Amino acid sequence: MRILVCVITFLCVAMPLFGGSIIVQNTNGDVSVRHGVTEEWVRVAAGDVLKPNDTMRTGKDGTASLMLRNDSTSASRRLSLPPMVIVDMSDIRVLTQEELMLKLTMEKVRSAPQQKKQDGLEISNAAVVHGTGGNSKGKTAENDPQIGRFLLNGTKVLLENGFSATGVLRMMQVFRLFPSLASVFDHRLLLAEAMEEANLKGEAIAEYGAMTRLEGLTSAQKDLLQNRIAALRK
Amino acid sequence: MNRLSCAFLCVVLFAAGCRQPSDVELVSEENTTNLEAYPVVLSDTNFVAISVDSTGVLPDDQMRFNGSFVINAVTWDAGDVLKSIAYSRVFVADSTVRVLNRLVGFQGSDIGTVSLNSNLMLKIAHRISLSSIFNRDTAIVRGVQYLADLTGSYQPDHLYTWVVTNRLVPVLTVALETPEHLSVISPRGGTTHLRSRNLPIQWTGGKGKMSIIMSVYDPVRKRTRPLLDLRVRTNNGRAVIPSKLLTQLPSGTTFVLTFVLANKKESEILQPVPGKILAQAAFVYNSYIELR
Amino acid sequence: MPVDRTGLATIGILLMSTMLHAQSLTDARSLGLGASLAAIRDTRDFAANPAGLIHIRDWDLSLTTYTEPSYNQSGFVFQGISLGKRLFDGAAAAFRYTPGTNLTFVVPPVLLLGDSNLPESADREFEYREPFTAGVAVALSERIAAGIGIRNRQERVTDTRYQLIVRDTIAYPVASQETYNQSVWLADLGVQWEPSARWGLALVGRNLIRISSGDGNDVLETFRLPDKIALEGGLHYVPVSHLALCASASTAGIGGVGAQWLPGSGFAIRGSVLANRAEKNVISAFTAGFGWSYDVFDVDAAYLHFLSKGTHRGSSSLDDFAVDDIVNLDFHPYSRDRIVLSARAMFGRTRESLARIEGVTMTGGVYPAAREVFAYKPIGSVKVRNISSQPIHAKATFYVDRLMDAPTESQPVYLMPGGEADIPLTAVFNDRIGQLTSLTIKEGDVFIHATPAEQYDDRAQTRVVFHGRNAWDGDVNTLRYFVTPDDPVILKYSRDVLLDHRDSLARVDGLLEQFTKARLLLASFTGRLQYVNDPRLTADFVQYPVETVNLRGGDCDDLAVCFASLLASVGIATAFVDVIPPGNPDQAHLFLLVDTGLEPRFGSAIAQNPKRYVIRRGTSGKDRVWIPVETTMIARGFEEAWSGGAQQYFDDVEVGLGLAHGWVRIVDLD
Repeated sequence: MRILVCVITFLCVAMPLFGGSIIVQNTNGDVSVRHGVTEEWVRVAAGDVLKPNDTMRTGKDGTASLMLRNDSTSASRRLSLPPMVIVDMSDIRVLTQEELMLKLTMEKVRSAPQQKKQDGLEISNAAVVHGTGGNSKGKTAENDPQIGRFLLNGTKVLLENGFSATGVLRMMQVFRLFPSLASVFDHRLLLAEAMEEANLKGEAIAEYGAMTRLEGLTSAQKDLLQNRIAALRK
Repeated sequence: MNRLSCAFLCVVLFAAGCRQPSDVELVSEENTTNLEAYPVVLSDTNFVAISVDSTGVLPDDQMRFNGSFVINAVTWDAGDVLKSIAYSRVFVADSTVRVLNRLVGFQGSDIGTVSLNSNLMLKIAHRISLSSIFNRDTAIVRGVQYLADLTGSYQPDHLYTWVVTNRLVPVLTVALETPEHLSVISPRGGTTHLRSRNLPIQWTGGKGKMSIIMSVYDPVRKRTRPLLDLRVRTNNGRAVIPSKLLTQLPSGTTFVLTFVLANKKESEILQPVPGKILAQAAFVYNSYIELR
Repeated sequence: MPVDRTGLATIGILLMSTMLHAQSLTDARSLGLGASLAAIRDTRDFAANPAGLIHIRDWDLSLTTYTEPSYNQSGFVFQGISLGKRLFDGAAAAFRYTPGTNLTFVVPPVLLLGDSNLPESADREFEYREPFTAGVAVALSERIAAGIGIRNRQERVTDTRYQLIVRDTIAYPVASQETYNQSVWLADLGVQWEPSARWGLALVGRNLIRISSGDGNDVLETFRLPDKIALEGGLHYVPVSHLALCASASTAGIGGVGAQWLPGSGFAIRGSVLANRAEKNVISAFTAGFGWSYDVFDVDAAYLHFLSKGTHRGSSSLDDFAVDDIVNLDFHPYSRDRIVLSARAMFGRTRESLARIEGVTMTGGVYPAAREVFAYKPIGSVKVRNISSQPIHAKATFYVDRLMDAPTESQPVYLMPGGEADIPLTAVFNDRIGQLTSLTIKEGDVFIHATPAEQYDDRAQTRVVFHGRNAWDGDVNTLRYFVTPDDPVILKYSRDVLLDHRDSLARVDGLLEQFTKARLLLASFTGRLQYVNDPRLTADFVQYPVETVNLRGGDCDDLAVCFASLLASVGIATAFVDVIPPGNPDQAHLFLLVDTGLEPRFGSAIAQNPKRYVIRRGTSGKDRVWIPVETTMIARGFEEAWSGGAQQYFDDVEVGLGLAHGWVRIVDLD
């Protein structure tokens, strides 16, 4: 019986979204959607069909229920959004391990110092000033941490619903945009566990290792990290 | 060393090579350059000189000198006939003799008495042949000449002195040494030689100047006509008459090679007759050969 | 009929005894070697075996002079000069002038003519000369060469004639000289065969053709030099390196054996013994010599000494004189001891090539905009082979006239003998290449140098395709070469724009300064652009930014390049985003990523929607906020262009995973 459930769950989870559609089943309270690269949030109603480049937000008291339908197999499943989440529709999909690795590699490639150019020539075209950020006159504020929390909640939704690959990637981006969230132990733990879930052993070990450098760790937390690292290393 | 200096060195090295390649001398025993050929100047043909074969004095010389004091040892070698004489002759001319306005000779001056080594010489008539004018053997007598027959007494390498005495006063003394004895080895008289071959000449003895006078002999008229005066450069006993020359000799078969070994002296005299005299002591050897 | 041993020995001895000198010993090297028939290598003594000329490399000049130490006259005689030239790979020719090959016999005068002392010098004089020789050699195969030599021999007899002029009153001798001349042309045929590196064999047929002209005369006939056909053979053997042995023999009765030792530093020591049938002794002479080679020069010296003086004194007996003994005008029974000096020089292409070009390949055409690439990246390659027997370091140089100031050298490549390698060719072009407006084909010269000398070992010409200055190969990596942030027009433009807005810029927070500048510069084109092509219409033609500014229009490549230049001119980093949708390469597209300089935590300062910007590191190594800009939408305004770019980026990279899959490429312009 258990196996059957797993298989069915797997099959459900393994549904590719694209080749499928997302329909708003019902909404409650403050639920809005942002299309594509636009800046405005617009209200969404039940029955609206969402596109992959849409983003959905639930307010403090908002909830929503989405129907994910696979057009080819006609199979469908439901996704519930609790309050205070922001979820990109493009994240509601399953990446193959290969795609996940590729994306992560691209991250690494982007992170690594720029490789020598193919022709071996290193002539700067201009004295490009690299993002010194200029002198802040104090007017520019950091990204709103509340949005960060909404986004983080959104990643939890993804992880709870089996979208661990996109969840991991999204969480990584959230930590980049909101560095304050990245310094919270529990948040980082979530990422590391998600990595484990997504079969990213190496990345998980690296993440646990990076977490050991967080400030204000309790000894229990440190032990936990060591244990996790040891367990993964086996 | 860069290329330029190398090149320059080479050029200098080879510019220095400017001598002509050396020759190879091909010498032969025979080919000794020992004869100098001189022309023979004949006097006026009317002047029949005393044959060179007798006097050893060339006709031209006979013309040039007023007088001559000669002492000769002469040998004629015709092979089967060998005749040797020795004599001394003194002749001093004081004027020329013309017949039909042609010079035919000289008047022999009577210069008194002439003695040779204290022996008186014979004063005889001087005959001048007119055969060249009249085409017959005629002669006239003009003046005197002095002769002494020394056959048998002639000594080579000996001092002979002539003393001319006029009215018991010696007016002239001429002294001369006779040359050493000359012995001709080749060509021997009477031999026949081919013109196409070089004629080797060999002799022994004799100090002093030597000449070989080549003459053609007319056996009919019994006259010799000298053609070449071949003077010997080095008296080493050898000489060659090249066949190239022999082929150029006039036709005729009998030639005479007159070997003259002479001591000569020329003097100017005032007494008894002013002029130039030739004193000669000669050894003359005539070799009659046939050239074909 | 069986031939018994004695018979064989007899024949052998007879053969041996018929050895007469036939080699012409006209230079010091041949004289030193003594029997050099098979060792002829250049113009020195080529008359002995013309086939030897095949070894000369280009121009070859040799000179010889000699002196006879025993002769009373000192000084050197100029023997001769030879000049040879390689005609093409398998043939060579030479010419020789030898005034020193002169044999004169003088028969001293028998009779002198009294007053005039004629004849002065000789009764008879025989002069033999061989002043001219020409030779041609042809390679029949790699190991066999044949040669023809033609010699001109001149004979003159001066005979003194006597004449007796008999007149009435005088008889006098006269001498005159008659001269008879004859000229003979003689031809020899020689063959040189080298079956291996150690052995060399030569065979020469002498006087095979004889053509004579001139006075016919008994005297001349008597003293004519023999010109019978003779056969000569020579052998050359190298038992160990630095040592060579040679031997030769002729049916005309001359022969010899010789040896050469090379102690090193270019020196050579030689010696030989020579035999002549016409002489009494078995061994008639010996020679000793040495030589020195330096660069393209050779100098040699040799000494020839006759063991028995005999006829070698310079004078001989006329009776024993036999003209038939004189088979060779430089070496005969009447030759004297001599010291010979020779020098030889090579000119022209004297070095042996050590390397050869097997082929040249060019890797496509040259895009003037991307010319700097070829200073490092190969423009082609040349396949080189080491054709020498030593390892070499080979260097290639590449040169295109006018478009390069000097040939560009490659790194040296080490090659073993017979080894091959592909040497990459690089090129540093000068500014003239930027003036090419259309496709041009030019000649490129490739040279290979294997030794440090001015001359090259091999040369090849190749065609180099130069595209017009606006040509582009479609690779986004090379598109950046069209970016010209230093162009004065671009600089002025960007500065002017920023100057116009300096007040507003002053009020902007420092963090947003870069973003604001970028926005101002990009927005400045709004309204100014009058025409924008469809993206990627002319994919192989790219306008330089100054052209785009002047034309006020262009396609997506032109605009991307132009904006990248404008932004770079004020220090703002950009990157090209090249999208080639899989299965739809015609839909390929290019847009720009612009570095705002903002840290990711300030991203909301420019947009609330994170999809409007991209967090990436670029060449600075730090995460920064970059905004995608669709340059072809600039005409509609900055916001439109930004939205368009952002949307494309999101669709292609985030959703489509283009970067991960590789059909999206981002090229930083730094």
